[in-house]
Amino acid sequence: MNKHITYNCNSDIDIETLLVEYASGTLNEAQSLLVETYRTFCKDTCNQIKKFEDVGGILIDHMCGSVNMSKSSLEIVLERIETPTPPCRDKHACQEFGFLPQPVIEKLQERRRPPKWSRIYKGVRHCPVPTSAQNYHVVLMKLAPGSKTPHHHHKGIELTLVLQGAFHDEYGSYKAGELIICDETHHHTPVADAQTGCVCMMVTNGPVYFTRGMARLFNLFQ
Amino acid sequence: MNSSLYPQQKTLFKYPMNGNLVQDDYEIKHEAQFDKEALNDLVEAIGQDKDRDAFITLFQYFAPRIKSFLMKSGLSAEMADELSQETMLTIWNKAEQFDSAQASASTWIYTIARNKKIDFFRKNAKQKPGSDDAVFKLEEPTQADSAYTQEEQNQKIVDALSEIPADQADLIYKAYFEDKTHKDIAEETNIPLGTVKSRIRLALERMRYLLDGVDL
Repeated sequence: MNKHITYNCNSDIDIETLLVEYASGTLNEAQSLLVETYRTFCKDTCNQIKKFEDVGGILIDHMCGSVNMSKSSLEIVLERIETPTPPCRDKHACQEFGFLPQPVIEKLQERRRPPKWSRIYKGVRHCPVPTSAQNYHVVLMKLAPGSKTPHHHHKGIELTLVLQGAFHDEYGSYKAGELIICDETHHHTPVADAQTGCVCMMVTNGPVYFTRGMARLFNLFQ
Repeated sequence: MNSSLYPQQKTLFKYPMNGNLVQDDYEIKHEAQFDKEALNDLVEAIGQDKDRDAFITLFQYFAPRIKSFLMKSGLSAEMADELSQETMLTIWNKAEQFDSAQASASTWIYTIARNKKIDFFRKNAKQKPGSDDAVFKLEEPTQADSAYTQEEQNQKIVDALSEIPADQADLIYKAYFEDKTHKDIAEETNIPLGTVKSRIRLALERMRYLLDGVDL
């Protein structure tokens, strides 16, 4: 499995729980998107998810019983398979996002308007990804080479998946495909790799607080 | 309280006819066992040859299971019926992508049904009603035995499940059927979250261990 690191985390969340909840269909949309993206980087993760999904397959096949379908259901479906499916509506081109893994692109295409990067701080751009998950926020962060995000901490759990490039903070360095799980006691200042810069997906379930300098102003807008 | 899974299982192969659809074919096919290979073959026939007969067989076998699965998470019979139809339609449309080397047909179908359920709940973002009375009955596998005696593989699965302690199996049931997160389960059962996690993990490990030789 790709590297995943957990900092100062209480027992509420860990990688296996995320995978089991993903497989059983109970994980919220925000964290599901992260798991779906994480698996594109890592065959072991795929295999582990598949094992948990196998359990679902066994349960639906052997353990959950059967309830008669309505009388005309088969005829209706047989009729529908003859009808060609209407073409999907045009999707956003997502040009500036084309390098991202497929699950992220698909989620961005669900937006009404084409996604774009907007600047929040020198060298730091972001793009929120709306989901139905209440209290969870998904945001893509794009850091120019060598740029620093403001020192910050957050309420709740923060999952950070590196999508491209690499970054480091006071505690270690992380490259594409790696997942960092940390809780609110973890304060850090991420710095993008000087050559590659960095694109990450962050999933939080509480507001992010910037703790130093001008960036504190952003707290007002949360 | 007692929606024991086994008596329902017993009726598997006596699914009543719908209208006047190919009654004879239907009867014959349903006497057949659908083991892993047979199910894979059906989905492959649909994917490669757009085989309608294979689809009808698969529908008759799986749609009632999908419907039951969906109803356990609190959907009405009507809605579960509709989503089961949607699931079957997606199976038809995506069968070409099915690869038995990647996942067995039942796993593949499970993920499609699960995603339909997730989409439904997201679109109707409202509280999901939980069913309090469902209990994972594992202590009395006798009737299931009689339905599956010819199938060693099926037998092994039933054995595997019945070897899981009831407290663990109950949690698996809540996680997979009742759409409860580990945290929801902890709150509902008053079992500490760490214990919920470890019990679910143990049960899943145990199932995998017991089923390993079955090549699921």
